[in-house]
Amino acid sequence: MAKQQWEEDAKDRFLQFLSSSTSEKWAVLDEDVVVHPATNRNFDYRLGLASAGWLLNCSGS
Amino acid sequence: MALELFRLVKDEAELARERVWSEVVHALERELAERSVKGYLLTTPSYFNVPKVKREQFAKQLADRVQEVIAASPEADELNFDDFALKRIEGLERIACSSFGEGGAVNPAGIALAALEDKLPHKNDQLAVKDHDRIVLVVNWTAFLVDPGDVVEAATQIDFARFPNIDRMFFEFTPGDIRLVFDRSVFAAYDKKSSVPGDLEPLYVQSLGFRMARHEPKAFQLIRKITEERGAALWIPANSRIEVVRYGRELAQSGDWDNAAWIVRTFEDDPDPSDNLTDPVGNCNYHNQIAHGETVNFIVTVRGHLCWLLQLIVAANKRDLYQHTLDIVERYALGPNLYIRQQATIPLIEFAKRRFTDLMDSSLADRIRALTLRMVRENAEYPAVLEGVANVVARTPDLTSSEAEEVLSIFLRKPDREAPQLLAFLLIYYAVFRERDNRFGTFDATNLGGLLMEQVVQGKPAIRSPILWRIHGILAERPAEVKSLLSYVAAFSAGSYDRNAFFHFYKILADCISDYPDVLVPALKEALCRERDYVNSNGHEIIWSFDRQPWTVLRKLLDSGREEDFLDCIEIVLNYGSRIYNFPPEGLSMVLGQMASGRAKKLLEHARLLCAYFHWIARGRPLWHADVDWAWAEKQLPGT
Repeated sequence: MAKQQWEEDAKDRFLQFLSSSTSEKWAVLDEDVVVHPATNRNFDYRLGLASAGWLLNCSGS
Repeated sequence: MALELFRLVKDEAELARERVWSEVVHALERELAERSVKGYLLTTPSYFNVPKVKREQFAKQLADRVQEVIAASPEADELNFDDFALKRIEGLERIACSSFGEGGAVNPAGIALAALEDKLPHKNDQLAVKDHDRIVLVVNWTAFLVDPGDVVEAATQIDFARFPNIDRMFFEFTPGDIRLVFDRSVFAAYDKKSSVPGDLEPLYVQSLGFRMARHEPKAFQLIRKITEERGAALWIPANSRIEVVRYGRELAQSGDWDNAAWIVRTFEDDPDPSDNLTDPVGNCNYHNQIAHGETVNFIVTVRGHLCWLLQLIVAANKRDLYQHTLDIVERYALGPNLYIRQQATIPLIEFAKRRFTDLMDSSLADRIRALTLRMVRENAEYPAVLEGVANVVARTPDLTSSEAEEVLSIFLRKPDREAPQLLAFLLIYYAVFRERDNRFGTFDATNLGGLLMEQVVQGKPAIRSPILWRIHGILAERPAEVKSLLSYVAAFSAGSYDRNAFFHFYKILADCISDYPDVLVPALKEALCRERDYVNSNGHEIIWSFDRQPWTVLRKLLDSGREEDFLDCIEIVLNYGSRIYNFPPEGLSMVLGQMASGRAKKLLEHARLLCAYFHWIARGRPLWHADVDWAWAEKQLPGT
């Protein structure tokens, strides 16, 4: 489901908060991550260190 | 990391209303911009009840109305129409809209709790994923109504064992201002009464504080445990320390003296409030207020609350704790902080009550007496402290005559609030009754009698009135005391007029004048003259309820056969002119009409004139309720 603007904005600010409190760059690795396929129940965002995202992208390509 | 978001709104219905408001207002602003209407702030109702399909049309009609109102008064700075208000803002290049708030009482932590209870079950299901740090981010959409503390407080009321998939919860108070409001390790630490990692201590302490404020026994046990480990309680903030002390009263009331005594030991030297009276950060505000003669009548600060726990200890007759409790009370009573001195009188009252019981030995009793006198002397300039001390003195019946005279003279300098009631009691006790009390040795009441007489006649209204009130109470209970108190009542009317004091004076006379007319009739006449002179020299004053006590006194005078005295009084009263409200026309005309003397007939004529005048000026009052001669009144005052 498409994210609403307030969700995108809040997520961006949270990433910034994480980055400044851990001194590491955080990024969105995935969104609407399904935890229960039968019902398609999901959580909003999977976050991780930006370097991990780069690794994921590399392994995916 | 798995992240779930939700918005914290006051309620869903309100969010929907805000959406409609926003849609209408944006359409209106667009419409007005197209018409080049600008330079005003438009304040609107807080919501619009307009169906979706009609909103554009509604905005256009509203724009027409705004344009019309502005065109009608182009020079006005402020314009109101329907439920809207326009205010000119120089230089504003558009119409800006805002809404009137709805007002009303709010409970921010309750709003947060309701939202969390509503959302967390679903969020917990959505975060059912392993090997992730599972986070809920709550975004504040309550326009500062709910703050991070409210969300922490709400979180402490939720059993997170129900939500095992939520590891942490953050709250975004304002955009970018993100705070940790729940952490599972804090929750677990509380559950297992264990410690938490250092970086989580602030949240832990805050959560514990909210639990302590709800007086959760587990929170107290944890605070005691950690305080004993650390050697002091200053790791929790002052408001939490206050809650611990307040909880101590519950413990004391349930007989848990071990924990109550621990609280006393732990907090007796608490730095709240500060004894550093030059403290620039204002921790001594209450001290300063009392120093400046203000009244502080609420319980604040850690040691302020502790005094009320000490009171319970004394009141529960915990003899084993008396020595230590009095040590603290003495320290507080003689300390520099005036607020704490005032609070120290709370347990001191209980001590004073028990001085003559088997609960304390003579050395303790003597210390209490000495402390009481010292408090009077050292707080002579501080009425708010003296008020508390007066309560202690009221339980100290064994002052010598010179001590009583000294103490009462100090109290009488600046009586404050409730002090006059106590002072009246003390003055009468020491001036009249103390001499008879053989328990405490001989007593010379000569000077105290003079002091009481002086206060009855010349005292401030705040003192005279309670003295008369108390005399009336004593006479009602013990009529035989009239012999001891009559001279004060008789002397009273030599003083100036005061509404409240005169009210009590007439009440006493209503009970006593039949039996003691020789003493009280002159006093009554003098009082009526005072009252007459007072109303005639104060254009706005009126004597209320004359038909009650004063009239009762006059009737009793007549019933006891003192017709001439009665007529003397009526003659004075009729010279009050039109300044008596609730004048008793029926009774008066009837009584005077039944009297045969020429003087009575003359006074009746005067009274009728007065009654007619009364009804003439009061028009709205139904004349037929009064026994006045209507035909005569009409003849006298044809204009009516």
